Order: sequence, then structure tokens, then C-alpha cells
Amino acid sequence: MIDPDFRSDLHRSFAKALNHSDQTVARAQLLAAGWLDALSADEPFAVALAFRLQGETRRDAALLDDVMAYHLCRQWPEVIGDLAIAYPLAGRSSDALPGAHVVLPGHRQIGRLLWLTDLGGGSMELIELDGELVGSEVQGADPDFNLLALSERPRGQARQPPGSDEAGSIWDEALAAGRLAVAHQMVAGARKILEIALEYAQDRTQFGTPIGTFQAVKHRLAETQVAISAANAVSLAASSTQTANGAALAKILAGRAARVAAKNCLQVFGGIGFTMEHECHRYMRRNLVLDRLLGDPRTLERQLGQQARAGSLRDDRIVDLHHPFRIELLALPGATPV
Amino acid sequence: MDEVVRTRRNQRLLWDAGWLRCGWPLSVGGFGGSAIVRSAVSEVVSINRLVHGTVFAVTEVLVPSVITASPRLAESYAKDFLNGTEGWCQGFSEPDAGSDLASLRCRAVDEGDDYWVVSGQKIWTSYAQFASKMLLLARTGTTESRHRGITAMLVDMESEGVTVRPLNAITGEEEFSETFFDDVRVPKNRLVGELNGGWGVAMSMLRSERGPIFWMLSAWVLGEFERLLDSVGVTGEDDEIVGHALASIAGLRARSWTTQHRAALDIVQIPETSIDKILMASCEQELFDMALSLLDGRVEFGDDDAARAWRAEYMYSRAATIYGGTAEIQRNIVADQLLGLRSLG
Repeated sequence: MIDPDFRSDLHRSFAKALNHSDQTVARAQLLAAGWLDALSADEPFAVALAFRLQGETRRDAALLDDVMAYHLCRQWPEVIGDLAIAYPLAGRSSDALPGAHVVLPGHRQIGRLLWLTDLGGGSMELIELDGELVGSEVQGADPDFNLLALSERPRGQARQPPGSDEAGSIWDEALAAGRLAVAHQMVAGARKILEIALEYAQDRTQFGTPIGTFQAVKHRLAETQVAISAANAVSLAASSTQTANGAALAKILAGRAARVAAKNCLQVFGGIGFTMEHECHRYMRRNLVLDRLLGDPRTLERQLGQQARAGSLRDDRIVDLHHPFRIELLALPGATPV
Repeated sequence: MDEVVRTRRNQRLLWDAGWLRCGWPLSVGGFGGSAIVRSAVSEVVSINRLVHGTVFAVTEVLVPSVITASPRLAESYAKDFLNGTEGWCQGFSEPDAGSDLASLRCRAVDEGDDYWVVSGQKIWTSYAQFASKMLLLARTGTTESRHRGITAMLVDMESEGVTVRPLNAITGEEEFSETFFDDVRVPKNRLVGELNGGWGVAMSMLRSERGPIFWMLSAWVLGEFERLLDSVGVTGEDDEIVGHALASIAGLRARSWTTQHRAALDIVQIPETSIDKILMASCEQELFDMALSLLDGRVEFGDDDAARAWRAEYMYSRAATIYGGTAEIQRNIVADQLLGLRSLG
């Protein structure tokens, strides 16, 4: 665990780094601020902090690749070092998508790429790229994200993970860590939408009174806070239990909170929220895209339902009182008010 | 009700074996220790279906507040309630004071040195017909004084002038009652907290209600989820709604987990518990809505014991957004007190 004083230093320096609009600069500063050391010293704190800051600022410094790589290299030491992951987008029908894989913007200029055909970890390989990554710009719902789409496996010398039997488990551990990280990011993105809607509800006057005095408006905002609080709690619980199902549940609820926030807050903003100049839609867009990464909510729900049906969740109490509770995580963005 | 008898009998056994004494202060017969131990014990008790949740829950709702507000009363009376010898009930709502609890009118008049004399009516009093004592909120100031003129007192249900009339709920059970007070004498030493300090006592009960009890109820919801899947022939078609409900339960349970730990650190603000309450209600209703669908006609047409039990639970879940402060009141509290919208006037 990281010392309390050092935690607030990290919070300040991570926030400062993510203030840079240039992803490469932001990433360099995060690395200089000790992001990777923090990740190995205290993963629950480092991930919650960094991804909540990414959610709050809508910046992306390719930290997801680091989290996944950190877990992959536990069983696959060759992975160690900077690498990009080509995230498979395959949902129920992959045909509808422009490229079957996306790469995070902070890692476009990179020499090594992890490639896999689907989220089950199929045909996973580490590719030493022959040249630059070539792909197409993803416009999609969130052009600000600057994702790069790869339509086919790039050329380069490939290495397979050790022991074909373990490949699935190597990937599953990384996948869970990645899902939890994305959940933290979406919680903070949803909370940011609520924050600006709250300001608006207090400033905007109709019928001679701020619209935040109307019960119908209050209830939409309260509903949003409840969804965020639930998602926040599940992401903290999953940080503590470190289980694959915990991470999937955290991602499902964070996506739900993001949709509830977008729906209710857009309604509170009325017409102004429907304009490009307003920032609400930008957070909404980022969350839409994140919700699709590493497994869409319906697929995750179906997988959990299938496990429940098979009886394999019988002893899974989701979280127990003996799991360590990290109160300091409640002070992070997206977690206040609790 | 058989469930009341069964719950109290098992409470007695668990108390004598020491389990239910964990986490309660020595002054009420407990072993001391953190309240989080009570959360852990009540979860196991619930998983093993040893008690009826809402019958058992009343101890957690009432006793912590009495211990804080009137330690001497708690010392004299709480033990017999905690160990299942007797039941208590909670006299808050009135026919004209539901969501607007601060407008309650059941009056307590100071009749000299020894007694208060109480007249009026309470309603929705759970298990009043099985209770020996009631924690009553009575008007001791003017009606205009609202929440500032309310006093809490512990009333013997055997007192002359108390009449209990059970109401038949839509579950088919006589769970709650109307209670009438006709010049009922309440000894002055039965005041809980300060004169005119009843509102604070009532609010602290809301916080207690959402502490260990909610942890137990989150376990109960998870248990009912599993029991449902065992009872019906779920197929792959159902996976998505099952997964959806499981995620909602995870939200409730993780939220309650943070509340248990924060309560142990004594940093839970009362309005924050409205979030737990909203999650509990929506989760319970989602679960039994799913049960209605998965049980495939049994709730609507079945008359065997299992069908009756599911139907009663389905019906009971409809009250989750009403009792203990309606869904609307909870949302007002979240918006006004957590999101800061009250200051707008």
C-alpha cells in the first residue's frame, strides 16, 4: 500500500499530467510521476485514481494497456515493457464495425502489439511490429477519443504465450483488471455529467425559480446519484475482492450509471444539452465507447446469467465483510458524495 | 403468525448460544465489540433462514437508538427484546401523518409528577399485536411546532387504553395494525431522549435500520435470487434478465458493504442511507418482477404452498417503495441533502 501523504502527491501529479491535451505528453508525465511504480505498489489505489481522473478529464494516456500488460506479464514475462493492445470489438456481430480492433491513441507510435482474435483470448500473440502501426481513424460516436482502427493483423514477428493451456487464464486475469479500470473511468465520467447538470439546475431559472427546485428535476438528479453510488460501490468492492466476476459486475453497473446519467442529465439541460457547444454530450460519447470496450453490457449480463443458471455462482457472495475496505478510495473523483 | 413465534424461539436459542450477543454493548446483555459483528452474524442467520427478516429486523431498528438516547431504559428493557422473550413495535405513522411524519398529532399531555397521558392513533405498526412495548412518537408541543414538538417514549402495550386492530395486508398476512390510545398513562421515566427531542431519535432509527439490517437483507435478496433459480427451469433465454438482476443485487450489496464499514467508523450521515434504501427497494422489486416472469404462471394461478409463498413475497415487495419512507421521500432527501438542492428554497 502507498503511504497516505504520497497518495495525495500522486493525485496532484496525475491530475496535472492529464491536464495536457496531447496524449503523448500526458503519458510521458504520468510515467515520470510514477504511474507504473504506483501500479505495482498498490494496484487498487493506482487504478482507481488514474482511471477516475481519465474519466473526469476525458483524457486518455493509454493506461489501460499498462494495466493489462501488468497482469499479462505475471505469467508471460516477455510482455514486460511498453506495448499496445489491439482491443477486439467483436460483439454479437463483428461485421457491422469498420475495424475489428482498436488501439488507444497514446500508443500509436509503438513497436510492440498484443493481438488476439476475440475477448476469449483466442490466438493471443505478441507482435514485434515491422513498421509503424497502420490503421484508420475511428470517428464513431466519439471522434475526440482518437482511437485507431486495425482491420487486419499487422505484420511482424509473433510470439505466443507460454503453455497453450494457460493462455486463457493469462488473458482472463488481464481482462478482469481492464474491465475494472474502465468501470472506474465510466463512474467518474458519469459523475462529471451529474456535476455539470447540478450546476445548471441551480442556475437555470424558469417560472421564476431555479429548475432544481422542481421535484421532477430533483428526482432525475437523485436517480442519477443513486446509480453512480451503486456503480462506485461495486467498483470499490471489486478493487478489494479482485475477482473476474466482480470486475464484470463493476463494468456493467458503471455502464448503467453512465446511461442513467446521460439520459437524466440531458433531459435536465433541455435544448442547450442538445447542442455541440455543450460538454455533456462529450462525456456521454466517451462513456458510450468505453461501455463497448472489453465486453458490452448485454454480453456480460448474459455470461453472468449463464453462470448463475449453471449454479457456479452458488458460493459467490459478491463481497464479504472481511474484504479490506479502503476508505481513502472514497475520496477519489466520482465517489463524492458517497 | 407462526413466523413471529419461530423467529423469537430461534432468537432465544441464538442468544443463549452467544451469537446474538456479539456486537451489542454489555449494558444490554451483549458481549460488546463492533456493530459490524452484528452485521456478519445476522447475515449468517439470514442465509440459514433461521429468522423472518422483518420480524428480526425490529431489534436493529429500535435498540441502538434507545441505547444512545436513554441508556438506562435500554439497560432495563432491551435484553428481553434482543433475546426474543418479547417483541417491540414502532409507533410512528398516523392516518394523517404518513410521508409528512412531522405533522403527527397523537398527543402526550403532562399530568403531573408521574405520568404522561397519551391520546390518539397510530397506523402501519408492524407486529403491534405481538408486541409488549411500543416506541411511540407523540406530540408534546403544538402541532405548528412540527418536528420540534415531538417526544419519543417507550409504552407498555398492556397499558389500559391501548387497543390494537390488525389490518389485513395484500400479502394476506396480518402484519401491521392500527393502534388506538385512549388516555393511556405512560410513566415519565419512559421518555426516550429529551422532551421534544423525538425527531432526532426517529432519524437515528432510520440510520440504524439501514445498517446491519440492510447487510442481512442484501444477503436475503441474494439467497432469494438463488432459490428462484433453483425453483424454476431457467433456460439460456433468461440469462440476460438473470444477469441484469444479479448486477442490481451486486450494487445493493456493495453499497451496503461500504455502509457497514463506514458505520463502524461512525462516519455515516443519515441522508446518505437514503441511497441504500432506494437500492434495496428497487432491487427487491426487480427480483420479484423477475420471479413473476420466470415462475411462468405459478404466482398467478398456483395454490400450492410454494406458489402461495412466492405470491406473498411478490406482493410484499410492492411495499418496498412505501415503508420506511417512500421512494419519493428518499429521492427528495438525496436531492435536497446530498446534492445540495435544498438551499434553492
